[in-house]
Amino acid sequence: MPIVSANNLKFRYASSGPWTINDVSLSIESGTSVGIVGESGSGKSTIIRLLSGLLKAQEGDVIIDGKNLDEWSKEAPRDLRRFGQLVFQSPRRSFDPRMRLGRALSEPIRALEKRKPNAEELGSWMTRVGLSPELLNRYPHQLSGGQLQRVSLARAMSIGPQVLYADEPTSSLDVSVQAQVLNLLMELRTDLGLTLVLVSHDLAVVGRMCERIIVMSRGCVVEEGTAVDILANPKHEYTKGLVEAAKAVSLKHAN
Amino acid sequence: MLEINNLRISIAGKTLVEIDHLSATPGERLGLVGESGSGKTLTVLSILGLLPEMMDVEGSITFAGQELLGKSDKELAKIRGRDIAMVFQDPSRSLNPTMKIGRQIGESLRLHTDLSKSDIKQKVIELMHGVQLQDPEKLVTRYPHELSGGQQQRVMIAMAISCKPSLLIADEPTTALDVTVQQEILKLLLRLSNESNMGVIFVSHNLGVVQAVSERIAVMHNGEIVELGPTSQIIDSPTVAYTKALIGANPSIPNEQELSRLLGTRFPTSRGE
Repeated sequence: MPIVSANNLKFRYASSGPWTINDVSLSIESGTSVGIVGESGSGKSTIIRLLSGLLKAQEGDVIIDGKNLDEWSKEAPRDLRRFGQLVFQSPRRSFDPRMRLGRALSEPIRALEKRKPNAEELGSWMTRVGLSPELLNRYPHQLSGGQLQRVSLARAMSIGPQVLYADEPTSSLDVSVQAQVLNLLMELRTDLGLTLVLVSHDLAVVGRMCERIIVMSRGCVVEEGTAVDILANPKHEYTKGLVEAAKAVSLKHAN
Repeated sequence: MLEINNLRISIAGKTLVEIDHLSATPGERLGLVGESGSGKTLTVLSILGLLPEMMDVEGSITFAGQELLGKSDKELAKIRGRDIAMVFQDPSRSLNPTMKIGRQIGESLRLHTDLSKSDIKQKVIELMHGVQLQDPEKLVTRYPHELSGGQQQRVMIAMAISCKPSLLIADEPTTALDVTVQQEILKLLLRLSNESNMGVIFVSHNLGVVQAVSERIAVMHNGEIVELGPTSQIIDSPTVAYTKALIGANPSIPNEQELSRLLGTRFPTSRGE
């Protein structure tokens, strides 16, 4: 059974505007790592906001762990938050600049488990993502972008989600830091048995991180398949163009 | 054509960039790569005298035999746009939001040439055709916000090449763009460079992009050039540890074999086929 699925989803931001998501159906199997790729405006960020319940579709259904999203929202909104967590592109904008990181890291546990985590618990999460627990006393501006993104991963993991939605989690980071954060993400995924949904415009990253890839264009899913299907044998014209362009600007070695 | 010697850029006595020697021959496409803070943007800004006033610059930067460092703003203004032009990362922030596209493209021509109004108008349309902007007659009356990011960057390039500069400095010109648009812009820069033997200094953190356009690559780290050589040599047989690490961190798109291997090892649960 898929852990998250969408049936004929339609969504638009303005009531009379064009459909940002136009009749999308997809399903994500438990424990898999799925990439959603496409260009700016394709709807890839919107779809994970719909799947995680941050946005509500005007038409269609989202089924999470066998239960409709509406039921989750009504009956167990906290469990819904705990089930799927998000990590965003800009770690700087994901933290309250006036809140120390210790407090920021404890927020999901306070809100969803109604308890105050102790310093030891928070410290162990910092260690888990390769940071010193001493940083818990710092403010966001005192950390680098890579360090902050590690804290936002720790924050998302702290309440034990089943699904992690990562929206371009490394796009704002330098390439060497990017590699470290992606490795950490992969490690956490394996250790905690997470389902990972990774949104990225970077096919090289998705190719290395994901076993399945969903290609979106103009609010629709145009192709879906294994990483081999999509990157080595794309069928849809749009996917072919995307893969060809990405190959043209990606690093090539002589041998 | 361009020669940088003993360049030192500092702020309040702290050295930010220190380059012993860097040169580019006419028509050469030179890539400048490095991470944020490595000094690549400061280096290219110093060529055009565009560094913030609080920074001190020492050494020598000569272009076509003339020393650029120490020139007055007025003297540099004659060189900027005419001999050396620049394209920046974010076209939406580099264009004047209150000026129509046609007027912006024609600005350098008005400053640096004696062309009449109607000749400039004609030339602007030609330039827009040259950078493959569709329907230039209509676009000239549009404002920047009415154009897509790719169109805006084409406008920036049309502006930059309007006076046929012998050197174009492109600082992360495709970073803000989608990958398909990125590829088109790179092709365009290559074609323009080949057609008019225009030299290009291409600044980027993305080694793949730099590889696609450059004949030589200079790798910058902590304000210094740590390795310099022909593109193939830098990418395929780097000698410096930092360059190796940078290449290792730039993921390439895995090929079919690699993908199958990844599916087997990384995702043992995969329902792949």
